[in-house]
Amino acid sequence: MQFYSLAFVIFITVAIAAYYAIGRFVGKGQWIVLLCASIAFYAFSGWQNLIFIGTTALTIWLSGLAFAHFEALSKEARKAAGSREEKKAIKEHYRFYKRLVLVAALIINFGILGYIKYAEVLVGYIVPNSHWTSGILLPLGISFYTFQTVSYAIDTYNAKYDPERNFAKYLLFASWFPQLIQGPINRFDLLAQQLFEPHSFSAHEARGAFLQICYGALKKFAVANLLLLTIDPIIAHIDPSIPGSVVVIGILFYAIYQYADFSGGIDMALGFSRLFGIHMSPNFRQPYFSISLGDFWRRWHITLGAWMRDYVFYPFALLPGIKRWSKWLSAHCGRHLGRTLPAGIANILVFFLVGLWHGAESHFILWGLYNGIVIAASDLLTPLWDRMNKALHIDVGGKGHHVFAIIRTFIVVNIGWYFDLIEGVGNLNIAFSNTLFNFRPDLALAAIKSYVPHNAIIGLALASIVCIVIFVVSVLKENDRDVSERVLAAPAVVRGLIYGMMIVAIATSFVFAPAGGFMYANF
Amino acid sequence: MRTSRKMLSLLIVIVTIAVCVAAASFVLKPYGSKSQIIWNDFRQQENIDTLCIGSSLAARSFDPAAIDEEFGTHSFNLSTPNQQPAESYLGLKEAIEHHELKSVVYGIDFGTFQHHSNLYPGRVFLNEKWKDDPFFERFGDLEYALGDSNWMFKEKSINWLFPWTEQHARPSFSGLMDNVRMKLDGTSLETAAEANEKGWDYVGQGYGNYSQVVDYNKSKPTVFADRYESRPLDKRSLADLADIIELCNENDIDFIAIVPPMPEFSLISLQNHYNENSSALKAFVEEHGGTYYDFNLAKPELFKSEEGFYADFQHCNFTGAKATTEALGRLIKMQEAGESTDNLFYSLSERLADIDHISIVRFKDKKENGSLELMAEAFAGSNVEVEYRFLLKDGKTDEYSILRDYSTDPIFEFTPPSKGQHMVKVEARVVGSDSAYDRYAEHTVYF
Repeated sequence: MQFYSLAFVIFITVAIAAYYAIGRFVGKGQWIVLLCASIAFYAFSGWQNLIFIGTTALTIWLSGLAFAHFEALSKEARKAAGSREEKKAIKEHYRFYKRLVLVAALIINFGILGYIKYAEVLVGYIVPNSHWTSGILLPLGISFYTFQTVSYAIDTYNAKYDPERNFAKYLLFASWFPQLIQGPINRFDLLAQQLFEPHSFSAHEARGAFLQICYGALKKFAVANLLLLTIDPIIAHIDPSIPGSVVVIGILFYAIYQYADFSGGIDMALGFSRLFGIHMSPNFRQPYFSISLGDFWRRWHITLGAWMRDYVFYPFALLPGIKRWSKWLSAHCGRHLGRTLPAGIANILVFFLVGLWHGAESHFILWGLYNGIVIAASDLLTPLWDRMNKALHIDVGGKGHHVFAIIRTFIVVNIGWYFDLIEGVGNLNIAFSNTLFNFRPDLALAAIKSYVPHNAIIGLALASIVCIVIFVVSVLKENDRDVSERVLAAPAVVRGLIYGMMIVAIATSFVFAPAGGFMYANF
Repeated sequence: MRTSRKMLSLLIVIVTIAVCVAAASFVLKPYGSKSQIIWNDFRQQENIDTLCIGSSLAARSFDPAAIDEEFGTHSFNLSTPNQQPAESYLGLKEAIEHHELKSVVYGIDFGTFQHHSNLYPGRVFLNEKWKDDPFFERFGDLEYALGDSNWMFKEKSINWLFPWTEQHARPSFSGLMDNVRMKLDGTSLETAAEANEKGWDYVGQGYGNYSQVVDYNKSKPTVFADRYESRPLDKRSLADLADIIELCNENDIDFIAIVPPMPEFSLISLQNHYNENSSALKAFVEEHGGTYYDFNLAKPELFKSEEGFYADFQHCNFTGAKATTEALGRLIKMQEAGESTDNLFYSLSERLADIDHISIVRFKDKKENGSLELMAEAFAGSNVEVEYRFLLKDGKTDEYSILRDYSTDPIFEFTPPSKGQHMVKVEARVVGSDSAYDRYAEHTVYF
């Protein structure tokens, strides 16, 4: 079900009315409304999808219960045990069972995800031109809910919190509908309690949510959709004759498109969730104001980055073998290398997986590796940068350097977008080589005019105006100004004008571009 | 007190949003759309007895004045751009309510029968139709038109609140200013429409058209098959057509379905797919008690398709519409006299074989291993053998040099002398012709 449709407006209106009416008149069980709404929302995308999310929720929920069960048995047995060694043996014994359950849960769920998402591409690698397909359409948001539920499995394995005993409640956590299209990847300890506790209607919260939804829709429809009309034809024309200047324009548009599409969709999802008084985890924090690639990844798709940090980076970096190697390096090659080299390897692994998460196609893997290698190299070379800054008397704390760092990071990120956007090593070579050696800015306008429909070029004017608005809002947010609160505190006429102009811009975008789904909806 | 202040504040926000939307609508919604003029004119007519309905193909193929001259009738062309069969049905129903119709001419547009477009409250046709209708009649129209509820899941289900998303004024500063000015200064609908659509002239009785003739030596010509996919006929659209014929039968109105003529290159582009659709529609119409004539398959003694009849790849211009309508008049007379009309139409293969010339030529370019592959494509009769030659224009002298002389091979590998833009031309002629060329196409290629 598209967010921008009458069906969704009716759906969410009924859900909100039922939710707060139950809260007001019954006083409990509001979460059941959320569960029904989530299942209904998911069923609209294809009832078969319920089987996938149901399987994931059930297996992970059972594994959580199993961990608690084994933990309880272990505790009891340890109480009865005499010696310390005996206690340790009992603990190991039950940990083995827990690990078995965890591995089984991971195999089942990553297995489903892998089969649906990667089997086709992998078979294509092994048997070229086989045209084999799994025959299963990617269930809506499968990557997001798989990662979200796996985090629960690992957390309950580590006894970070008690497992949820009620399957229906757990199913709600896994299937909470605003997060289903493209995340964010929520954590159980941050989201579940909000889902289950009672909420009463807050006009202020609803107004904030409405503003957030409008702002998200503005980014998605009046920027992302309009830019796509120019990006697609440019990428389709990548061949030896394409001027490098056109490739750069395509990449810059793609950088804006990615942000507008993904963060716009997330804003809408967060806004819809807020209408029920539920705050999901933020996923973006002005990423294009980052001062390093590492910083960028702490501001872009924050919940995926945090997931990778907690469930891949640290577990890998803290492996006994890696720790021993780190110590050895510190002793023989210096503390800096001992700290950064193992971390760099872990980063490369993390970003390899981030690339793979986007798809098994080689350009995604290259994109992931590029990010990992740049971050690792940047860490490794920190002493060199420090010395260079010192030698050149550069004031790294100054505003000038800050702006320089932002621009430098933006360029580094955009080089990464080449890998993400352009499929095929041959095309990638052409794109990079023409950017460097056949830039030809004199041909840019004529080439774009010949590639891109006239309508799309006019649509760019609207997108540009909205981009300026988004930029200004981002600058204010970066400077810790709460733009949303400022708008909500404005007189009613001013608020009406702001909403009105956003709505007109969103609607006008459809003059130039059809709706189109969210890019991450198929992840 | 606090609650009433909050309510007042909410009300102000809602009213301000509504004002913004209304202001945008005023600026962006075009004044003088074709549907607006046609419906406006329709309401001023009395005693219409012959009605033409259908999409832009019908709107630009039937000249009501030519019908009236032949038969002394009072005709009206209620066809509008992209009119769906369901909308034709609603228009016909409206006409039956207010006039005593005797004949209906329905212009078949294969495009509207290949997929079903959901009707929804934002459709321009419906909005113009509703202007003078009682409010509750809208629900009746929607009940008929909506049918399947899938539209509620699409963006259009919201966008009908923003009428400019369906149809908008020219998206430029001057276009929007002109639109506002015409709304304010009392410009007539006809003048506004003619200003909006350069070259379009409104004649009256629902009929307007262009005088221009399609360029047969265009740089990158469009053919019918480029626009419309090869798809089977849509069941819901056919059901709507059945409703139209049924409504005519119930009211004792003659129903004639006409496939308006299109340029030969468009017919050639469709090949056998054309046959499938046309034969299926003919059988369908006749099965329901209507009459079906395909002017693309007409023999010259009924209608001789000439190059000067067409304004673009699918629509007639004034001359073409007059010739089509006159031929239709002859057909109706023959039908009324009980004469057979079957021998006035070809089969598709006969029609394609009857074309003894090249209608158009075009070419595509593809980069291959450091050179350009130029692929020419001629649209000609089925028995016509075509030869091609390729030329390159000198950017400084504007003179052409021959890259490859005439050959029946439509493909030519070309290595441009330098990187950048090059103007390439392909000329085509019938084998054995001694003319320099019959048709050509030229456009810039990038290397």
